[in-house]
Order: sequence, then structure tokens, then C-alpha cells
Amino acid sequence: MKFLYRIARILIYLTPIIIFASLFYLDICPSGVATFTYTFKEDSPVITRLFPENRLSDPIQISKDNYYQQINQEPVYFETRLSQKFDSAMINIEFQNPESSLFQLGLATIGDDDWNYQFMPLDNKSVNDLNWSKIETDNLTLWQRNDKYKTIDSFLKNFTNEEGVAIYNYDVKKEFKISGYQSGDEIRSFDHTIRGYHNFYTYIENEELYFNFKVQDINRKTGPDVLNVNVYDAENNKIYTKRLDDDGYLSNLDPASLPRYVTISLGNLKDGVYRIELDCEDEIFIRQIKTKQKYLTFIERLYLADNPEYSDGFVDMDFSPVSIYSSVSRISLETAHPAGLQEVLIGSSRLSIIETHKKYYFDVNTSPLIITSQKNDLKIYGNGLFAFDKDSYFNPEMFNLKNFQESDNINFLLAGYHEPKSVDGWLVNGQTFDLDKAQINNRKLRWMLSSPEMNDLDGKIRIKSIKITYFKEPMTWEEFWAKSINFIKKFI
Amino acid sequence: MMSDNQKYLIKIINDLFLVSATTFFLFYGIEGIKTGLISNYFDLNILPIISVASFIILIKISKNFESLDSSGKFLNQLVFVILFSFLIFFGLHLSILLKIFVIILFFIISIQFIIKTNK
Repeated sequence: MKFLYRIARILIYLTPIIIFASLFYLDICPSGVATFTYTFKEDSPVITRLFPENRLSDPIQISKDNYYQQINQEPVYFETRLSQKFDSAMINIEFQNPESSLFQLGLATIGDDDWNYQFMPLDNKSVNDLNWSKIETDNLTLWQRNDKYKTIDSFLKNFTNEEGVAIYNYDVKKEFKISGYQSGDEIRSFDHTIRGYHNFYTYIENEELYFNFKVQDINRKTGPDVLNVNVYDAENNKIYTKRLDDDGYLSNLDPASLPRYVTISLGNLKDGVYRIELDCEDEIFIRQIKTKQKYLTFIERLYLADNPEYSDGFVDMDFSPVSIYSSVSRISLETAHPAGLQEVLIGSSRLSIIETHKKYYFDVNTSPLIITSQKNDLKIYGNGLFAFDKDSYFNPEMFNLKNFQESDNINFLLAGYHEPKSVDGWLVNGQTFDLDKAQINNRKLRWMLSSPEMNDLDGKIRIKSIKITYFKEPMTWEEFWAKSINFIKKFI
Repeated sequence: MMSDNQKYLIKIINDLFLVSATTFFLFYGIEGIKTGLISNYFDLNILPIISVASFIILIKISKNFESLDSSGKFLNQLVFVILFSFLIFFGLHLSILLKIFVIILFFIISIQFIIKTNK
């Protein structure tokens, strides 16, 4: 009995040491792979609950061990704890998304402000519906209208811009060039009034970047109204900024300002795509844009403002209908005033705007197309690009699509995306994120689940599980011992 | 008189109680220094459950510590009081069931001690 007592005693004293050694080993993660899952049945030490609570249902039980939580309003967030420094993280999510055309996952990244997210799709219905032949690898899918390439590697080595290539959610590290582009000194003028914040692409090749904006402040609200014109290069670095201060009229009883002009003239720039941001409130009206550049395409938002609603401030407006060349797959239209209620022509279809402050959606079957606004005072939104005419339209996002819409000029689609797999009535999909630019606070990563149209469509998304797998280089024994000694030193 | 087997059993359970309680304090401390090192992979509720369960068994089979010497008796009671205080103080992180269990148990043991002391 004494012998058994000694054995039991040794076991009792050794067990905590063995447990601690195992936990330490797991935490250091010499294999380079660590996986954690949150199933809504009970809290996970690594993955937090989804928040904010007011956008979510309580966890709902499906069967003994299966629960889900419903997202009623987007976006929602969760955080994951990092035990070590990892290189990348793969998130797999089990979900149901009956309504929304796009459901995506975002990772908070380091940027100019706190709200920077790198998004990757989990469910993109326009891509899922693509009925072309496809080749898949672990993280990429290539869809081809006609089978030309046998492997994705051969596609990446040999594709040219002229083949009608679109890239979605993947960095091909290939600069966008327009073949046969001819620069010139001729100044083009766009005389349509646009209101508030806008972003547009332009393209230069052996020429200066020249823009002149005619600006007026309507002064309908109290306070200063400033315009910042920012220029970004193809890598999204801000290379130039110019500020136009307030017109000096601060009261909402003041008249609209007289025209003022902002000119940007930048020489010796590298050939390629540039983005120009007109950063201002809706008080600022851009009455005219003059440029030496051939191409000018607005990104995601265009607010047409030539409408009698503003004739108290601007007496020289042209109220003619305005036509827009658009490559947006799902268009959203809204007006803020009764004078903007109208029938809008979208291709050969008509959409009636009969209420103010309400977003009207239109799914486009064939892209690109012409949108004609009869009365303007119309906010046009969409995941894609707009131009004032076909000649000034170009799409530098073909190598970096924000969303995909099948069109005649696209023959190949390469995407960092797989169609979600269906398992027991739930969809499962995952995406892998590099963590080198991730925002890490208190050793935690922040993630966002988003579906841009969900709130307007009153859609719901159900989440059944969230699984995260962290990856880093496996450790050698030397690294393991060095890390262990460091850890002990830290404690001492 | 107690048999040898009973004495050894009491010693084993006594060790189990002391080791599990001490390990709980240590792990809790380590968790405070590096969040996640313990809790990412191990449920910290397990250790106080083992401590409390072994303490009850110990009381039962040692007839309220009568078979332990006075220093062992004191050590056990001290560790248990510290463990209990700790659980109540940091109890927010423990499961509700465990909290209720510990509170009820503490009351029972306290009453037993009071009755025994007043005899």
C-alpha cells in the first residue's frame, strides 16, 4: 500500500507540471498551426461573442449541440485572441444567407483612421451564378468563357489586358496599362454639377495630371465648408493634397458663394492610374470639371445636382437630363427633394422615384449601360464605376474588382474566392488573411461580418459557427528552447 | 482505530486537495500575466471543482480532520478559506453552478465547524 501511495503521490504532484508544460507547448505552437472554434453553444476563450447585441438575435438552438445566431442588422463584429505572432489567419464560417447578394468578412487593418477593414467575400451570388468552366486551386478560382488555359499558373503567366480579364479579391501584382493610349494637351470640360464627396479614377501616360474644378458653396447649413482635393497613386498612397477653405459665409442665411476654382497640375508622375478624391460635405457643389486627361470614371457614388431645387443659390444651372455610362451591377437611386421625384431610364427599363429619402434598387442584367436622369437631384450609388460618357469611361478596377457583374467584355475571371459548400443546409466558406497589416489591440484581431445591402433589404443572415486557424512558420527546436527560456526569464 | 489503507487514502486525498488548490492559484496568476496561456486550452473551473470535492471527501473520511495532526488540519482549513475567498472575489469568471455549489458547501462546513467547536 505504501508503494501505491508513493506512486499516487508522484502522479498528483507531476500532473500539474505536465498540464502546464502541455499548455505552454500549445501556446508557443511549435507546429505553426492553431485552431479554435466558436459554436454559439458556449463561450470560446479565443473567439468573442458577436457584437453589438442589438443587431443580433439571442443564440437559437437547432438540436442538442447545434446553435446559431441571427444577424438582423449589419455590420457585426467579433474579436479573436492571438496567443503568438502569426503570419496569417484562415476564418471558416458556417452560415445561411438567403437574401443578400454579397456577404463578406473584413479584418481591421492599420490605416489612416480606426475604421480600416480588408474585406473578402464569403458568399457572392453574382460569381456563384457564373455558368462558365472553372479551374480551382486552394485559394483561387479561374472562370473561363471559353476554355483556353489549362491551369491557373499558365493563365497568370500568359494573360494580357486585351483578353478581357477581370480579377476579383486577388492581387495579381500587374500594373494597369491601356494599350495604344494617346495623350494630348486638349482640355475637356464636364459641365454637369455634382454635389458633395466624390472619388474618381483617371489615367496618365507621358503627360501632366491636370484638373480644374469650379466650386460653389450653397451655404444651407451653418458652419465652415471645406474642400480637400486629394490625389492617390495606384498603390493608394496619397501623393498630393490641396485645400480650399470656407468661402467666409458661415450662416445658413448667407447666400451661395461665387464660383471659386481649384487647379491641380502635377508633372513628372509615373504613368498609370490615379485616384482623385473630392473630400467635402454636401454643401459643396462642383459646377464644372476641366481636365487634360482622357479618362474620368467616378467610383461608387455620383450625386447629380442640376435641378431647380438649387436655383435659389445657383442661377446658371442647366436643367437638361443627364446620361451616365455605368458598369454597376446593382444600382441604388435616391433623391432628397420633391423636385427630384422622377422616372429614371436604366438601359431600356424605367424606375420611378416616387418618394424622397428612400433608396430604390435596380439589378442590371447587362452591363455596361446608360442611366438617364430626367431631373437630376439624384444620388446614384453602386459597387462599380460611372462616367459622364462612354469615351471617358475606363475600368482600372478590372484587376481589382469590388464586385463582379457578367458582361460581354469579360472573358476570364480570376478570383480569390470559392463558391460556398453546402453542408446539411448550411453554407460553409473560408478566407485567409495576411496578418502583416492587421490592427492588433491587446493581442486581439477585430473582424467584421458585413452584407452591404442587408439593412435596406431587411435581410437576415444566420451564423452557426466561426472557426479560426492561425498559421506561422513551424518552429525549430533551437527556436523553441530560445522562446521557452525567454518566457521563464520574463516570469523571473 | 483507522487501518493503514484509510490513513494512506486520507493522505492521498489531502495531497490532491492541496495540489489542486495551489495549482489553481498558480494558473490563475499565470493567466493574469499572460491572458490565454491557460484559458485558451484549459478550463480553469476544473481545479476548484477538484479542490472542493477532495476537501469534502477529506472531511468525511478523516472525521472532520480528527485523523490529521493539528498542523495538517490548520493548513487544510487555511487553504480552503483562501480558496473560497478567492473564488468569491474572482467568482465573476467562474460558472454560476460552481459559484452556487461553493457557497452552499461553505455554509455547510461552517455550520459543522461551529457545532463541533461549541460541543
